[in-house]
Amino acid sequence: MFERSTLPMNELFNVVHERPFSLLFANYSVLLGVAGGIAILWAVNAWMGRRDTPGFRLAMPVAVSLVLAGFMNVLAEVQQPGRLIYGYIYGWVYADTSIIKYGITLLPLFLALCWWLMFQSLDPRALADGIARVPRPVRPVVRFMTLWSWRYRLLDVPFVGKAVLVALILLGLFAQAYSGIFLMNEHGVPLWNSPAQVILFVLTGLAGGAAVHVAVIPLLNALSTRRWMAPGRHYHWGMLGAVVLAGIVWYAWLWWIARFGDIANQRAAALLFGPYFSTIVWHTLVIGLALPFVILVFGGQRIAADVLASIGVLWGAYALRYLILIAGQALNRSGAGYLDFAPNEEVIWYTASDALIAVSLALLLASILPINSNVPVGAAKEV
Amino acid sequence: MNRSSEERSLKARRRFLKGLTAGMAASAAGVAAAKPAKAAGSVNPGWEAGNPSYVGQDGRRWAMLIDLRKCIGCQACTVACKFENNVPEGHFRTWVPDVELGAYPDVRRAFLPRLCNHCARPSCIEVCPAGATWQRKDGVVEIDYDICWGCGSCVDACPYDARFINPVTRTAEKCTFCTQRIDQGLLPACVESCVGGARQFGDLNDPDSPVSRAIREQPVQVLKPGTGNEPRVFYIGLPHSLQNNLPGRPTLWSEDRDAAGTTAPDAEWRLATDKEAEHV
Repeated sequence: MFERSTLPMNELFNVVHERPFSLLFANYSVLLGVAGGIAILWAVNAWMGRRDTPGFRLAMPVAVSLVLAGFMNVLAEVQQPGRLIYGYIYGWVYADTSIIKYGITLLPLFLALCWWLMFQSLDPRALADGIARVPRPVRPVVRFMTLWSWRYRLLDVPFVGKAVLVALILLGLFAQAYSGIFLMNEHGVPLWNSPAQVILFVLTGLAGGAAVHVAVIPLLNALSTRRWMAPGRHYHWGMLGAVVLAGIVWYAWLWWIARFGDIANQRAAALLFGPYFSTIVWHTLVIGLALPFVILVFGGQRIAADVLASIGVLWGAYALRYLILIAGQALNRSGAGYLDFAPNEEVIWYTASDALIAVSLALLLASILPINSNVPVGAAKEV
Repeated sequence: MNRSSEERSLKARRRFLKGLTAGMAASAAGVAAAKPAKAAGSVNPGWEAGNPSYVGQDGRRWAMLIDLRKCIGCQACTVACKFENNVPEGHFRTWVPDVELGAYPDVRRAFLPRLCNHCARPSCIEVCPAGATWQRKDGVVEIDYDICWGCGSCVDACPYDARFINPVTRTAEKCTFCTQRIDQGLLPACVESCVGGARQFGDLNDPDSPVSRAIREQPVQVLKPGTGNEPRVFYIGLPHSLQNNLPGRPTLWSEDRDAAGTTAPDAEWRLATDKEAEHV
């Protein structure tokens, strides 16, 4: 720190425009990232033949809930959500640089695929029985909403099933990387003009997906079936690997911008290693990375330890996005110093509402879907 | 399940798969057929319709030259712009930061008029998902307020902090070189009102325009040349320390607004001050 007397007397009377992105961006980044992680791990499970368990059947409802809650954040953050339709009509000459063009097409596709696979992962006969219990007037609507999934199970068809899984993995990766690429294209914020955050968002999304498989899905299963389901051990190792890689990328990136960055990146480094340093240390290093790492390595693969590590991983995934977003926008392009972020009541209200939507939707889906049916699959049924 | 019901089920599945395949083929054909139409209407509806205010003046390349030696920091341009363009309170299309340079006792004061740089390679246009912002043929970067959905992507894409979200229209907004005036043969409001004649406006394609002559005859600078945006707002007498990011402490207008409580309920971003700000 310089002594006050040695500081130049630079005093800037300036205009600073408020930055457009807030907590809602971090919210949908983490919700879509974790949903992508859940979907990718689900696809890997399906590919490996690890199907027909309650955990497998609960993963897609959770992913759907997270994606829908993520979309709510997007709609809340956009100033004129009714005009989103113009994204499909105009501006296609910039399709190579505006990631939103891909977001508005591929992310709904990801949601639709997750929605469809939610029913495809169920036992068709149990699904048919469930539809038969629905009151007759609304039955056609329910049939449509399930995309007639009691009649067929494409996952069982060798080539088609694999193609669907590959599509899900690609769309899941896009959901994870989307917000990172979005920030990367923002030329006015040099801190974000790096692929490092894309890698970080993908890795923390994968770790978060594994964390949901370890901590959230067994809990949902216990609530809906009153039986405890031990998560697979592969989630433990997947989460550990993703956490280690994310830690390496995060600190290598911080080191790089502080050591080799241009003047704008140096200012970002000064911010991250200055006023934000304690936040980074506590929320990303201690809670998000170090604690989960220690627990996963030395916790003896106990369920309680893995659940604790999962909470840390999810916390860290959110904190990381929040910090990258805030640090990038805090640098004032109109001149000196930095801006201080203080979420207003509206943003906090939307955040709480979205959390409520995600949780209640997941609980609703878990309670109405026949996830506990272990009837052998493969037989379609007319309703 | 007996044989007949299995056959029925099999037929139903085949019917479904046939329908699915036919649907996908029809969709693909539709997309292929729609492609040329989409390409034709892809920039902006006003541009596609050939509306002169969207297309601009062909053959011209508008630019601004600001001679900092003549700027006295009177803010007449700031006020004229606000009146001309009905810019809401707390936001500015052009503004004049007031800077003290150097360390005591070697101190001097400088003013740095700011506005959209109407770059040759504008990064704000490339990120717009709706075609709501585009560059006219005369180089002016414009915004269609009926198309913009206010995603804020362009606000963060601009290295010059020229854009903001208008809280009234809930769309992105910035300086347009007063296209409503220049298309009528008038000067932009800020140039018209500049008491010291510090701001000059002209056509870079015209070698006899004041801007072209000044650029040809005198050393000129641009803000943040390293961004690669190739701005078309030029400065004479721009100190090197002002060209990129400024060291120092940000004050005061936003703080005053917050203190007055005019924007406090909606304010998410505040200026960090004192020791904290010295880090950056």
